[in-house]
Amino acid sequence: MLDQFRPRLTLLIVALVLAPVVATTWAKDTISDAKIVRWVEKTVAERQPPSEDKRFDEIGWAPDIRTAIKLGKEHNRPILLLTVEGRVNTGRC
Amino acid sequence: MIEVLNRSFVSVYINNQDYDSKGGSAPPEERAELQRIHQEGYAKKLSVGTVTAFMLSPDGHTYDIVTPPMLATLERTVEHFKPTPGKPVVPPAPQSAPPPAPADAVTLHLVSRGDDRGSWGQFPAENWIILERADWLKIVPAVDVEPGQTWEFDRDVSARILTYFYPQTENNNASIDRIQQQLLRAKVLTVKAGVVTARVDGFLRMQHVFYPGRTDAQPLGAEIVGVLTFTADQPPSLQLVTTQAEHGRRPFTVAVRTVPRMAR
Repeated sequence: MLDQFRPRLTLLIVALVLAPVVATTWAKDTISDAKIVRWVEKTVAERQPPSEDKRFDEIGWAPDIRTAIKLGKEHNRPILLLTVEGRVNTGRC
Repeated sequence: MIEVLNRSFVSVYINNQDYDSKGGSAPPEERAELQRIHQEGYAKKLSVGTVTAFMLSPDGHTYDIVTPPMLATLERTVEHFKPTPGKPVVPPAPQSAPPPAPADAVTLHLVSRGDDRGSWGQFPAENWIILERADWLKIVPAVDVEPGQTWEFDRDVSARILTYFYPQTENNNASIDRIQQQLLRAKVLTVKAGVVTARVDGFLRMQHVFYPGRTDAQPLGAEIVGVLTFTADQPPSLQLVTTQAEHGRRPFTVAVRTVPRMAR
């Protein structure tokens, strides 16, 4: 009974053993030396944040609370204070 | 909303971790101001939380807390304080900017994002990584090289880059002890007039927790290619991209580029 599954089991084991190797070599095999420089350059450019994802930068931000209060008093403007866990400016929050 | 903020408000954001009473980097005077703003919010029975958008009066006292829809709260605040509309009091500027670095350092800018959009996938995550001279000297050979020659990056230096290869998550503990396996290997493609161009191939296996304080780390795997360009004794240029990457079952992409010294 076990014998009829043995080839499949062997294949599965081989697949599991080889999977990391295949994954590791995949990129090397699919992007040739001749194309790698331009491909990487193009991909890096494509993955830069588009302007619509950087609208946070369109707001004028004071560097800290005390500066914001000083400017609020000087210009008679209310203050928006965002308190966040992490770096909202880099999306790591 | 951006227009209203720039026209009628002073805007400021802070990272609570910087204002933590135990080891936060913000000066004591700043921490005291945040404490006062919280206390005033409690006194007014506002729903003060750690992640909060406060409305303060022009002299810095807690007035309200922004609730959805945000624009309505802004407009109510404007109506109450009647500020004179004008230009932004602080000129808008990129908020993710390279940190100061020595002139001979390599500044790397990393962009990572899940393939999903909305919620955590809505905005890309960024990191800035500085490789000082002593660091980048460990990823380029100290001797002349020829096409076809290969070498591996110093593991400590590559770990400092690859540790940020994770998508947007609430947890941002990027300690390198999360890394289980990693490799970046270079192979010289060309040497022309002293300029060496090498391809880079590598991979990363690590564990990364989505939410801070949790122990349910999910496996993360990434396959990486890149290009390293250098001349003798000069800071190299490094670009890396993932060709496939997953955190748990969430696919994501990463791109790393070297910021030209002129742009810093």
